[in-house]
Amino acid sequence: MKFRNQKLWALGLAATMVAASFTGCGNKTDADTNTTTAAGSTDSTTSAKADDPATTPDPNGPTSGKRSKANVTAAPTTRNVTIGAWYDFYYTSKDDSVDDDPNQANEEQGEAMLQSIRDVEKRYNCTVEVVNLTYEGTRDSINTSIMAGTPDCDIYLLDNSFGVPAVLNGYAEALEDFVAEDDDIWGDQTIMTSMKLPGADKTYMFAPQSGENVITGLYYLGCNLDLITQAGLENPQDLWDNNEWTWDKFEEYCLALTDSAKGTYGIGGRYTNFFIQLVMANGGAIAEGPQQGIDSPATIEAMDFFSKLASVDKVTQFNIDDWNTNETNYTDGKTAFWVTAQWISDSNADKDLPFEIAWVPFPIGPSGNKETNFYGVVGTTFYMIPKGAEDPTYIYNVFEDWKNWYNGDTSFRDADMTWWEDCALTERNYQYCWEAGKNRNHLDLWDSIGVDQNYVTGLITGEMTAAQAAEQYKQLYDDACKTYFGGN
Amino acid sequence: MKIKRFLAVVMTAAMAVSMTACGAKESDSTTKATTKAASTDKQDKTEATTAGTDAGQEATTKQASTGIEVSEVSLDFSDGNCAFMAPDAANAGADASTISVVDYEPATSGKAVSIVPASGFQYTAIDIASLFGEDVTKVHKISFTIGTQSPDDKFYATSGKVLAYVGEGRKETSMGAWSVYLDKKNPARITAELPAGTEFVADNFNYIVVSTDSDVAKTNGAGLTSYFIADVTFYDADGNVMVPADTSVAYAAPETGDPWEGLTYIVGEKELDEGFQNISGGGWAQNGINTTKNEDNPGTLDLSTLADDDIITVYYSCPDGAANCGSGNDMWLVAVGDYWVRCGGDQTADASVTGDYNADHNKWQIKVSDIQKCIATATGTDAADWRDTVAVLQCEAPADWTVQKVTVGKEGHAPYVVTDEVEFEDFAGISAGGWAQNGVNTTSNKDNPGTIDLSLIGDDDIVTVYYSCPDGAANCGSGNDMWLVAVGDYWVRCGGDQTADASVTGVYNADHSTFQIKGSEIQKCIATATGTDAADWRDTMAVLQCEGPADWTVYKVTVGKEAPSLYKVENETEIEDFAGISGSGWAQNGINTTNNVDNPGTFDPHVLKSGDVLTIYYSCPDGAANCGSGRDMWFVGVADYWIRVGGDQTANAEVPGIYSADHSKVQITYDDFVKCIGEDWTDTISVLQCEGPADWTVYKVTYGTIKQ
Repeated sequence: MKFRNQKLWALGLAATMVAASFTGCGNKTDADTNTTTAAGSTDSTTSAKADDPATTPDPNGPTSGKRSKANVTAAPTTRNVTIGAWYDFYYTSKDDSVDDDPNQANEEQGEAMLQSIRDVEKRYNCTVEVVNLTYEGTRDSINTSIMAGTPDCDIYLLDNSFGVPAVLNGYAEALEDFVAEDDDIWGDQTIMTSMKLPGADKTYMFAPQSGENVITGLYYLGCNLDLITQAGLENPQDLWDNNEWTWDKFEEYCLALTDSAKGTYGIGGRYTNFFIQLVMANGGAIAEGPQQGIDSPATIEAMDFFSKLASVDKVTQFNIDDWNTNETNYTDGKTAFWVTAQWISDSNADKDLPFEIAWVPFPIGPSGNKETNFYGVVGTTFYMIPKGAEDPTYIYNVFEDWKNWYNGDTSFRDADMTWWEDCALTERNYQYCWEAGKNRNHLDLWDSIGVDQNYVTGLITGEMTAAQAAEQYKQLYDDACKTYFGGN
Repeated sequence: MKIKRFLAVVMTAAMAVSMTACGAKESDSTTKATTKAASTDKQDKTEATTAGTDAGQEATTKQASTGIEVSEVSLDFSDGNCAFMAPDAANAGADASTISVVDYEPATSGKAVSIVPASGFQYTAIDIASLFGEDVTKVHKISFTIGTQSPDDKFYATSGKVLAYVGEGRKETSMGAWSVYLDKKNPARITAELPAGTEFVADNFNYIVVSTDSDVAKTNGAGLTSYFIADVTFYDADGNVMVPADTSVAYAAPETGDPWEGLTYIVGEKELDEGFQNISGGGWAQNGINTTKNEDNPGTLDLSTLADDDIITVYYSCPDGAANCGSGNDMWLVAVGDYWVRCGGDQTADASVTGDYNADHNKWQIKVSDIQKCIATATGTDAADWRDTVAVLQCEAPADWTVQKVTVGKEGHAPYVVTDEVEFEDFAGISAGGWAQNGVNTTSNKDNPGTIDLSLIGDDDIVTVYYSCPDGAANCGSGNDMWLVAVGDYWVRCGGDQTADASVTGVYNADHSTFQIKGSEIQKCIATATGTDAADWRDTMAVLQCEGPADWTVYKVTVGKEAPSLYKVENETEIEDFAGISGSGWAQNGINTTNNVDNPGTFDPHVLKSGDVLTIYYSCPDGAANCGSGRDMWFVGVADYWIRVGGDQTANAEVPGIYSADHSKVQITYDDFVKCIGEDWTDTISVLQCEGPADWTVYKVTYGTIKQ
């Protein structure tokens, strides 16, 4: 896609955050910068406004409580729908110009967003206000006002640190109780996505969709196709498409492509990401809920395989003494596979490397399932409607319509994806990003819940077996999970 | 200026505030503050008397006009006292907020402490050590009412932390957080307590801080929010209210060592960009600000102002006890352009650039030229255009981190530590107006010989002027606000902005109470001004004067020898059992070594080797004779000998010891022991003691390797 203007596009959290703030994930280092240099200009197509999605109200339908969108009508008196957060969003009822958002890089999109708020105000007889409570204030508001039965805000932006415990403590309304069955969130999730926490009976957290939100924060296996082809091996992407990209096949490839005398290795790169990706590829998890999972059979199986590759097969090029080299060692063309992502491709200028690069999801483990495995640890920020909020259905529909400024036209919404495409290098690689993004709303706090991850390097060196790691760390994870998730 | 503008806004607004300086009586012409914070759920004040506290004073349960129920208050500020609260002097980034007692309707007594920030987020210390003395060890929990007042008529949410500085080392420990996030919940009642197993320690300047780290008013460009703290209650671990016996005590700043220890001393320091104030991130997360060269989202950070020889200093903190916090390489910069480069730290792009960390790990420095070096190494270019290609400059650390500010300055000279000071008579108490001179005739003055004998000033000797100028006066308290004027058949400024020789500005201490210049530098200034070598300046100078750009007073002028600087130490290890030992003046106390046949101790002196240095961390009572200057601490080695190592009565005159400027540390090397005792001292010494000429206390003794 071509775009009019070369712009830097601020990712994720928007608006008044002047500082470029990036969250690292994983052990040791994390340079998960997600700096997006969105490039190009939009082709002009101001997307024609879609027809008003509201259908004719059912005269016999409910006018309160859970009801379809058509039956969510204007409030009898103007209602101020408030969103509690720790930064400002655009565009809300206080804004009347595209320029009110200092970070708005695409004027057409800005106009559409501004129109969206005007439409919502009219349709629902409301105003939309983002109340900046500060981060600590958001936490306090959730923990005090909801418990008191009078939530300060109609919707809250959540951070995992307090959002997950709040949901597990019963502070949120369940989507199943107020979102109509025919809503997008239960179907294609074009407009809104959701996350159901492990152990929770219902779904409480939701977030607006965007192309960036679908594919951000994920990792893939980068492949040096020159090495693979020269060895007479098939393209792993073909194996993936044919459901043949398994651990056995991956190990076979790594053994065939490793020659320590020549300095060539099967797999290199960010070993902590590789580790947790293997766990997910086998259907495992470590800290996704109140019950820890490091000693689950699927996780132990993944740790065994990880350790075998490194300490027995010796097909890995993981440098546990100098993390920096892990992020760049594949660029010498001597590593067949590595952990990659858009930002890694960008920072190492993969487009200029002298060998062909393919991206493929991680191989599926013996206990894994291609359709249900997760391919990422959630980075999206979610929202909740607090218990005690007046007419959650009304609130939700205001929010959904407000966020659907593109009227379902995802090509318009995701017009500025050029940077993501460029980083992926090929169209085929880019499509795997979307495929992995389908199963991304997974919470595993294995490296951010206060438990050290020294066992990962122990598995690499062979000084620790998977069983030993599970035994030594299960209590630590158990205590941490119970402290963090509480709830159950 | 910002304070003046804020006051103007307050006065023109509908709110009138009666301010009482801490400790003074309230004036008669007070008007009540009409804060907007009061809840609409006003209730009549009720009073009830509850059981007395451990101080034997009555505690009362009152209901504030906000509807916040406050039971048992330790401090209601009705006496007008708040001198025990002040900006945290130990925190380099603490804002110089104005603190006073004011009328505050929501408070049970109608009084509160007002905190008006000067230019940044407030960081206010409550000196519980002074309030409670020995009983500070019992303080476990604090409750207080906090209200806010925005610079304009709107409400803006604010939040921050309640921190404890605990123990002998005053480790920062979180007690909790606070927020005032909605207008209808302004003020808020906050409770914070120490973690289980943590206690304050007496006689170690332990204190509590209430800090701000988020102010939506500032984010929105509306200015800085002010605060009211009222109805403060302290509790012990059993929940009993603690009431201080004396609230007239004043804040006693913690004794700190040289804040630049381990770092390059900086002069002309200024903030690199306000956007760095109080930014934070999780472990391994980055946060920072955009530069002016960021094509798509230009920021305010202008890197073109940085010279290669500038030094950037990051003031930071991380949570006590967190892994990777407080030691090692726990802060660095990240430069982002079409590259992503760590500058400093363990994972620096260039192995020769880690930056420098101070001992407290709350400051980290990097040379500007080293930023280029890291980018060059990472990109394989010379990165000569790095100032134009860096789009974002960030901070990062391996543990949750907060940066209070980032500054830039030039390498300067730390104030000299001077020994054997001799005072020049007749300077005491002289004064003059701004840009006026006053001084004393020298003995070389042919017409009217005075008392200043310039022959006492050797080339390497240090002349120190002790001075002051009025607070708030222009040109006072910063920059070059004092210098000497040499008068003969010449008139020459030595030091300051208008110095005769541009290489000689002199050295100012941090609070601008001393100005220092070397004898050789006085000669240099006269030489430059006269076009001669001025080798005979001691014979030609007729008058030695002082001058400053603001009204000034000089208390004394001295000449002394420059003492050596403390060594930088690697792998510093504490020797057990020295912590907390004490003695009276000229008394010794210490520990047995493993060589002690009768009663072996735990310390084996054989761990020491040539190149090592021992450091005594100590204190003596303020105002005591022989305390705080000169040689006020040393070692004594005992075996079949009794030998002083260091101090005025050292066994070897070459071994006086090296004292920190604030006389809280003294260093004596392994080789110093050899000089005093002998080559085999580690085989023979059976008792290692400390001694000082005034009552003394030792906090710890360490050993480590001198960093080359």
